[in-house]
Amino acid sequence: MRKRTRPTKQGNSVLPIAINELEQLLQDNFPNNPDLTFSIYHHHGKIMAVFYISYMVENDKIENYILDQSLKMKTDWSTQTLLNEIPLSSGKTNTSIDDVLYGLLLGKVFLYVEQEKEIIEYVLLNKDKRSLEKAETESLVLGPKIAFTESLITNLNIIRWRIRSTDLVLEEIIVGKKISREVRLIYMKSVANEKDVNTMRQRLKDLDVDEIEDSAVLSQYIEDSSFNLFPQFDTTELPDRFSYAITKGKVGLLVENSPSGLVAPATIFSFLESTEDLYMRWQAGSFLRLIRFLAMFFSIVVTPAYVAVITYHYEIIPTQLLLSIGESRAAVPFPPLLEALLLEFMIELLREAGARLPTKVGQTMGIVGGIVIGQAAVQAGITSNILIIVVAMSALASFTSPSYLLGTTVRLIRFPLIFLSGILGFFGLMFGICFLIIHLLRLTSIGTPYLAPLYPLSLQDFNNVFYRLPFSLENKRAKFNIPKELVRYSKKEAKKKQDIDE
Amino acid sequence: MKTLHCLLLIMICLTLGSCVQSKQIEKLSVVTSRGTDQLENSEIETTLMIFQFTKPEGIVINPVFGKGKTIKGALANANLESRFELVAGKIQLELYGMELAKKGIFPYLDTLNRDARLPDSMYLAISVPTAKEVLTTKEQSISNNVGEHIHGLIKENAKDHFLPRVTLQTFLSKYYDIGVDPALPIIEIKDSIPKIRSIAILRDDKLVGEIESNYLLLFKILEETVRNEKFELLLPMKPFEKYLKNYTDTTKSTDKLNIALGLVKSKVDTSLIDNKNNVFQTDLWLDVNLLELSEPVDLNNDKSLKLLEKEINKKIEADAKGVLARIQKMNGDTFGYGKIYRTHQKNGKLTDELWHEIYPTIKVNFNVKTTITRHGSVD
Amino acid sequence: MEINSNIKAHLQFPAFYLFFIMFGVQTGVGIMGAPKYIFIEAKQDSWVAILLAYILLIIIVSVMLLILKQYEDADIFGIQVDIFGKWIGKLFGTIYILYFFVNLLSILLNYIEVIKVYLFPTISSFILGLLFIILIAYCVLGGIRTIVGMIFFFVILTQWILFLLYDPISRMDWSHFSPMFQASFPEILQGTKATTYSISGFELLFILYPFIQNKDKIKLPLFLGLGYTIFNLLLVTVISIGYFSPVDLADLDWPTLSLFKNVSYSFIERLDNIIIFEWIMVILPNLVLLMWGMTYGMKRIYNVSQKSTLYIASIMVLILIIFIQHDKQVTMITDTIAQFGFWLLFVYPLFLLPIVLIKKKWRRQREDEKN
Repeated sequence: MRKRTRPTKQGNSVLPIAINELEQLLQDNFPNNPDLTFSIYHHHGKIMAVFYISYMVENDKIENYILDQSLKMKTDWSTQTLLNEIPLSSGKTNTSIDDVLYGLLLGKVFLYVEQEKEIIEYVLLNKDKRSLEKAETESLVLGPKIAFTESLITNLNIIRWRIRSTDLVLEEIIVGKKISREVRLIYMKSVANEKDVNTMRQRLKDLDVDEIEDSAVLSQYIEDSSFNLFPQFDTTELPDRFSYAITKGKVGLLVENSPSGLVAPATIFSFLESTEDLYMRWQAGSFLRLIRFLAMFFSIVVTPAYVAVITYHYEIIPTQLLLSIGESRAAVPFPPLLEALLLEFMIELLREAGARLPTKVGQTMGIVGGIVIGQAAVQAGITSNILIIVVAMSALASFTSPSYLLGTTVRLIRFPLIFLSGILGFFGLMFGICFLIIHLLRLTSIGTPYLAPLYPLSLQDFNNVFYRLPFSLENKRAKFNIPKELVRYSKKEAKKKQDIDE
Repeated sequence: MKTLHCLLLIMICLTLGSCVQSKQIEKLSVVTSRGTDQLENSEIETTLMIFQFTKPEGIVINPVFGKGKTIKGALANANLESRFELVAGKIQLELYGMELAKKGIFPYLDTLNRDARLPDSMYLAISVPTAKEVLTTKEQSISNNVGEHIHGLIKENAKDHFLPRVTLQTFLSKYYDIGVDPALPIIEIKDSIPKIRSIAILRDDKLVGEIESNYLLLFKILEETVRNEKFELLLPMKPFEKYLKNYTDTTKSTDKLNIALGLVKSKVDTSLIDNKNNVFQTDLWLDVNLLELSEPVDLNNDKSLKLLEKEINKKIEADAKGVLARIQKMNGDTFGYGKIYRTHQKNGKLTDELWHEIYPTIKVNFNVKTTITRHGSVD
Repeated sequence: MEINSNIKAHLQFPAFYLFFIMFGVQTGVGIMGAPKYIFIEAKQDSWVAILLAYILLIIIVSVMLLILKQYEDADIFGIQVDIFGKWIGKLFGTIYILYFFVNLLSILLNYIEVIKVYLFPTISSFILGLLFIILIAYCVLGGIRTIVGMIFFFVILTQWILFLLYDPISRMDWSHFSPMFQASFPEILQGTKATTYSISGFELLFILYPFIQNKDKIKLPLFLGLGYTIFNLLLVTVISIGYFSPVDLADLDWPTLSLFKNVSYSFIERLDNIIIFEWIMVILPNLVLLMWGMTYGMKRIYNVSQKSTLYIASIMVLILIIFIQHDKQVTMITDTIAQFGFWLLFVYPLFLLPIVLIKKKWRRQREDEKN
């Protein structure tokens, strides 16, 4: 049962009211609305109106439990007797006509006995939703593959089943002045840092917008700084990733009608974490995480470095390599900067086309683009084949990011860097990297530094961020989140060893 | 604020395009080796081996020639011949003609040191008769570029074995240091293939003589610790005759014993033992494996092994003495005894002239200690 | 103006970062040429001169700490006003600010000079200066938290350069050091003086002190940081002396950079090309902290907002960069600032300490009399 926090306007209550007046009132508020069902029943001299929007509610339940039961009643109709006799648990009374009007939109059924002071309401919403499916954008090899859906109820259901603890808080906050939407603030009461929870709640409550389209839009409304490149909230459609973050003391947001949850505070490293690292053996988990860090760096730097080297710094290439690069460059009529931008642009086109097209066509698209166009471009002398390798590798590296948002950012950063390298060589590249580092240092995510635990330095938190130790060694939560409870389990117990032959 | 940023960025973009001189590799002629020869009229001629990247031939390698009074002048002169800009940032080898080397090569090294874009790791060598002839030799069997081939030749030898280091940096360091003179390899054309002929002994930057290439290793082990090297020695047969295995036909035996040794590690230490008479002692420790014996000497015997070691010591000592005597006569201090002499002087001061007066008179006691650690899988 | 600076708690940083700040702000363009200047004075005994510099540094910094500890939470601007009165105190503060400005300018000019000589002879100084100013301004705008983080990161990100030194180490000629102890004491002192430009920067402790969270733990990171700077300087100088012959070393402009000219690997050659640009990360901590010191000083003394000082100083630096083009002028500015720095950084604190102590004693006596 959901608890409404909307203030009820007791003052201007129009009840009690005659049935036909009530009908008139509803008609006035929903003009030209053929979907509003308003039926009147007589019983023992009493008159009762039952009204609802037919496709928002479960019609069988109305017939079976409300109409059938009330018409068979022996006693007289009144608010009390009806609530008693009807075998539905969600019955409630309401006096505000505004709430009633809004309630119709939420899939409620209302019963009103003439001259009573209250309206009875039942929640019998009928919401069409897609069934639970495998995650599309974040795929895992190991671990649960279920993904969030657009239904908030289903999502809450999944979360509750994953974290079965009374500690779990699912605060309801309504956002949107014109078209309101339900947002759930989710955290572990005994773990999450209170400051984070308060900041989040405050930002949501202070939000003054007419509507929010999706959780991604919400994240852009409430992030710390809008003029930056990096995402400040971790977006995920995987319940296991979401609940993992919650149990480690972060704060989550779920938005009605949005299949992705938000997690904050996020650091740049949290985007490179995957729950899969946990499911692997710790050595493999650490290795894969390391690979991802390297891939991000590689993806940002490799094409700009190629451009800088080819344009200005031929000295640093070993002679043998210089020969092969020079040979492949000889036929290309453009300067390296243009050549690289062209190819990067082509890769982005392929990626974008692949994302828009249906899955099956998308695969074909990738093959056609990658192999056929690449081959043809080299033969036509538009690009050098070394650059094709470089660009393809950097694109590949950018896709290793578990977070799609970060991957996009990384690809975006490349373009200014390529440009800088093309006009200033390594100086431009270094300038870009320095700028980027300073930029990252200035960022925060709901007040937590974006580069934690590197800066502010917290060596103890390196575990689980840069690598993963066996569970017997990692008995603490990340310190930089300032969780209420730092220790997850006793280290002594975890490290208890048995002697040989015991 | 934001508009200010944008304006700044646009300004940068507009001004940048023209201000940095780009060096796109396909628009360069990359010089990989350079030969410098003396011409009659105090001018020099440089032979530059260059790479060019062209379509559709791919890599084109050809020599370019330039004349001038300075190296940079000759480069500019050579540029007239080349389609693309000549850049020397990847130069690997500098060859000097014999004539030039006799006059001194330092005037032509200054630019190499001054120009920060040039690598310090380029090799220097002297060529016979002229650098031009060596670099332009036409030989199909040498893959593509003679310069590259010679560079490989020296590199292969200089990295861990044979040659003392001959990079620009070591040359300059030895040139500037008082009490040590550089040595360079001499390259000649033999059967139209470039080959290391001998070691050039220089006094400062002038060629004063040469030592045959079979003493290469000796130069190397007298300079620094050497590991993993093979060499052969010719010992007299006489002392070993009693250890010959009994099945051998003694009538057939020769008076020479050829042995091949694998040097595991060598160590050298020189000190001045008599300050007044300038007597030096050079201790040399050699740790060797026996690889080959021309005669079947029985090595299962402690005595024979000891004898072999002793004979090797004697031979190397004699070689070192002989070589030193020759380079003392040439008055080039390749082994750097002057450095040791200098550190024993007050204030560490020593002038070049003074040392070259003393040098021919110094005495060196060589003291070689060889240990045969292994003698293969047979006795 | 207030003597104590009353820094808000969220602006303070742990003393631990002082290690990185000290190293980051001392190491900069100075170390590129330092081996040459020290060697010219003290010859093969340069290492003694550098060790002596460390002892001197420890003394001076201890004196600075002693001065700062006489006050609750003050920086040099406040202390000077307290000691010398409003007018002279402010004048001295202004001298510090001017020193920061010229020092910043000299670092930028020197670095631009290096880029021009090594790689881009035709590049316009203005463009390089502009790019640097953008980085500096962007970082200073982020406040002290960003600045400390930037220094921390850049110091760590530049440490790999040290590993490349193994190549010149393997080519060293140890006989260049013997015979030892030949330099006379005045020569060694001259050598020590030659290090001052490359170890300047510690004066910022005078300003940063109130920003430190746990002032009781300041000593270890502080002296370790200074020691690490000296260690680096010592390493580079010793390698330079062994690697280059004496005549050559006295001629080289930037021996530290030339050390890397021989470093090559099979997949990448000529690492000096990369190291020159990596040096941006080495000098940025200098530049940013000097710029910040200027803005903060102007705010403390004249109550000018930090942003306006930042913008005005940036524009002034850019204008000066356009006009100073010749390497002679650059050398002159560097020499002047090195000379001036010696007096301001190494001598002035020694004079300040007794005055501060006397004033404190005098004040306590007066308070006693009152009571």
